Amino acid sequence: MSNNNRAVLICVLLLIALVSFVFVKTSSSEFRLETDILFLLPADEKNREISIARKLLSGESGGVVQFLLSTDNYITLKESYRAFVDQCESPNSAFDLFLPNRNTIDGISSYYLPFIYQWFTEDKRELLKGISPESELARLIQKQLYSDTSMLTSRFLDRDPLLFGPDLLQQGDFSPGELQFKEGMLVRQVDDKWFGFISGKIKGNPYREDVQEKAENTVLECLKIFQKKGYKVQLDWSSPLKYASSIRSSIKKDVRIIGGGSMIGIVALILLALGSIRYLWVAMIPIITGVLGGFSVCLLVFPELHVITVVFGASLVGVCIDYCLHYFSYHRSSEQWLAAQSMRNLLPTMLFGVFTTVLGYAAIGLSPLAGLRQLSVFACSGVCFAFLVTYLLSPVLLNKPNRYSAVPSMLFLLLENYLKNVFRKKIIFAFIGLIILVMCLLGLLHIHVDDSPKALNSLPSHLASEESEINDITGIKRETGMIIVNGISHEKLLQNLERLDSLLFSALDIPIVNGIFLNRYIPSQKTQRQDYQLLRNLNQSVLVSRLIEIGFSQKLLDSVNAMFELPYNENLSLDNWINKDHLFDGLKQNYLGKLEGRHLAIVPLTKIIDQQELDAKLGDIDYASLYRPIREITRVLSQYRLSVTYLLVLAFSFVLLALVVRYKKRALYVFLPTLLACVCAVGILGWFRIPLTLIHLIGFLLVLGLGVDYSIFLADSSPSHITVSYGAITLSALTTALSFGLLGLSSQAVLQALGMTTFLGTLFAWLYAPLSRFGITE
Amino acid sequence: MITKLKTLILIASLWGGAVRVNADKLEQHYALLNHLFAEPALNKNNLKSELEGIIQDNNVGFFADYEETKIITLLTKPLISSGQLWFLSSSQVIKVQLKPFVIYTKISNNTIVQLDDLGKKEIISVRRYGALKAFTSAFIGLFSGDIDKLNKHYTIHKKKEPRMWRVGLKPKDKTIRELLKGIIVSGSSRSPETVQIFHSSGDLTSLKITNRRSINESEERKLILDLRFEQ
Repeated sequence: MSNNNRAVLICVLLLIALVSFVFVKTSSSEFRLETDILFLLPADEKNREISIARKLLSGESGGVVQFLLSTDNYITLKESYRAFVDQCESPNSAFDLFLPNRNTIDGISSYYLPFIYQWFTEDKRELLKGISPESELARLIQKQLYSDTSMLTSRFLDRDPLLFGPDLLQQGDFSPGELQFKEGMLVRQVDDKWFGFISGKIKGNPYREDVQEKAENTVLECLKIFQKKGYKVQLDWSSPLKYASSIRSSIKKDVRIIGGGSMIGIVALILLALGSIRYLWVAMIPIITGVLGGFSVCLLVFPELHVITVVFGASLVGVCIDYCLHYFSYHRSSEQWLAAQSMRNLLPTMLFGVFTTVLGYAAIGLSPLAGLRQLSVFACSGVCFAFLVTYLLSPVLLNKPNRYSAVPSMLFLLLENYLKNVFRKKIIFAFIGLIILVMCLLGLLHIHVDDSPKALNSLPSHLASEESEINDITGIKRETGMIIVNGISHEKLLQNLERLDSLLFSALDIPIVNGIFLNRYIPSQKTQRQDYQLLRNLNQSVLVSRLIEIGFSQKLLDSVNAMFELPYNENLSLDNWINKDHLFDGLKQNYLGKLEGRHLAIVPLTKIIDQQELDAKLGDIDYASLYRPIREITRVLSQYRLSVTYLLVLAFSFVLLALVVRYKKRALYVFLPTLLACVCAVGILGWFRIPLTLIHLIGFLLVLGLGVDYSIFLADSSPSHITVSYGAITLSALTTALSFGLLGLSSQAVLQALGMTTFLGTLFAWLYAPLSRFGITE
Repeated sequence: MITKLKTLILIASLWGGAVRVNADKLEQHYALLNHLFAEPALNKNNLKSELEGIIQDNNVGFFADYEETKIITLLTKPLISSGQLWFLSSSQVIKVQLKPFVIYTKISNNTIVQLDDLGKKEIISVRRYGALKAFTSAFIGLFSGDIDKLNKHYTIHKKKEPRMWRVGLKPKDKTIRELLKGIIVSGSSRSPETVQIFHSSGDLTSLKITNRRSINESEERKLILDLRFEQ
């Protein structure tokens, strides 16, 4: 078998293997693309709280869904509410609804009733510990009975003769915010508009595409029913699923635009510059192999792929084609064409180019962002596969000389003139280059850094406003952060929550924070035993005589006496409480379970009144830590931005070292274009007031890999081939700029930042590339 | 031992007698309510004309004395309280209970605020409790003459008797009816003199309003300042 046939066979087998592998992997039921943007954030193994909070933010809470029906009249609301519930309760529905009913409210009262005399509010404890508690207690009961709200409290009088229940339930605040319970619905009327609120849970993983589609279809079905029945009702809904679904569709759109756009652009460029359709299909093979290769390696290495990796894959098209372009340029312009010889001539430069490119991409792999590590693996392997196929196949497919090699391409002629001018009028062009540089340097004055995760997040504004409207109507308070509390057992966890509540809220005249403390719904056994004893310390006969004075009937007095005989009941425990179906659905997610040998719970904060005091108080205790997602992630991103800056300096130093080894004194000239390209790109970002983020810095690592390639090819080129090399570089830069420029139009901030940086960097690296010829006699 | 026995006898006699008296009274009142609700509800379109001459339709502040009797079936004696009732032009009702102990209550559309003599304040959001919302709407609707407000929560039943009128308010919402069976408002002049609130538990609250007189803005302001609700 000849070398050529062997090369073709290897490439064909490789392609078949890659296609089969990708097909098998992607059609497996286990395959899924991650859309959760938090997946991209740095993995912070040392900080347990961050990981836990991330799990919370992206995991279980992603399944929560809230619906709001709004209409002008109550009857329509009632009918549409019923229709909606019926539709959502059908077996094909994507939702499990939490429907409020009288049974739920009574169920909560009944659940706590057996424990109301062994768990008290702080006020009651103070009263029972005070002077003549029997009289004070009787006075308080009398006050409650006289009150205008006694219609609510006195209905439990026979079961709760001391009226401890209402206060206790109020402490937990089971009420649904601004809403009221009306005919089995949670409703609110604002002016002439009626609102109905329903919350629920999504069946299945909200980040799965099929689950997202099912949820959207269920909502669409409901809307169709409203339309069919003539209900003039608006249905708003909010769920992390909606965000994930929106990100997924916009990324799909991006893939189509960026992948398609860069492909069309590359086809047009090749036709324009090289003038033959043959180059196109020859170029397609390394592109396809590169993308498939990158994808396959990622599927092998990572259990889950992020959708951003796939989008990035689409932009890799512009990089994979680089190596063939050099070969094509030589083929296009060589009248005496020796395919294998030309490849051998180009090989050292191409290999050095692959080395520096992979170096740049590999440096991204050292970044802390999990998603970017995938990009790195995708790019490094993609480039290697593309290079391998280019090396093996291009000499076989382009073994005959180009028919039009005697007629230079228009692009090459233009570039030849341009280069001649550059080298002839070095001072003028150096001056122009200097002016561009100075202008860009001035832009550096406007540069500012943004480490907030908001800068990396592109949540659709219409979804955010829909969510905000639902929160306004329902009175659901936005969380401003959370405190993560731990304990070695359920009991210890609850005790720690109680200590924390007392430290930050209940024992203070001016609370430091307000939030949802689980201990207000489920006390520790220690507290219950203390409270149990406190009530039994009362003088029973004195209390009874005071109650007789109020007018307590014998039936009530019997209840009071029986209360003193009640044994301690251990059943009000976290285990039982968690397993109490449906009653506490909204609250249960605040208990995280056992992680790393400790039981964890969160206290979602609805208000932080004194941040300094909060930090100080939490600083002194070891069982609780504050987690404010934005603040914490900003801090971590800031740390990583610094790390990536050092990484960037290190990568530049490595490349410079490699260049010094190869080019000796000329190394600086070869290196300078890339350095200037990065500086100018930052300057342009400054002029456009675009805040510098971690992603921009990672983009500069890409620019390093690409930019140095241009300089190397130009520096290594013989004077007779300089136009061909510069032509190839120009084509390469144009294709890269095209694909990354399109990436800059992506709806995702991360891709936008990466695309914009690489686009600007590539453009300036090409512009300053002729500098690499300095020191060579032309 | 003898003391204990005496106490028991005393309790038994008190309980037996008082509960029976209360039960008789309650039966009569509930019969009246049922009788009133047997009347067809007033038509929404001519509510204003039907209630003309009964409920004042202008939002003018007034002051009155009141006496409230609350009969709770599980208690051996009624809870009797008295004090002053202020209706402010801002559609707020302030009850200043002077006996048997001092407590101030401000009833507005969205909240019930209670302030005791030691300055301890308790705020209850009525939006959270349908029955309380219906209760506050009845009070404010009656005193301000806001018939639409009444009609929103209740069907209205009227009975004209010699020298007096009686209006029954039946909650439209089934859930509210589980707590509040109905309200009877009666009077002889153009303003309510008695308000009876029938609890679904069988309890009854009767409010008698006497010595009613109009108040001006400066009196309202002074009251608000004196009671220090806003602090």
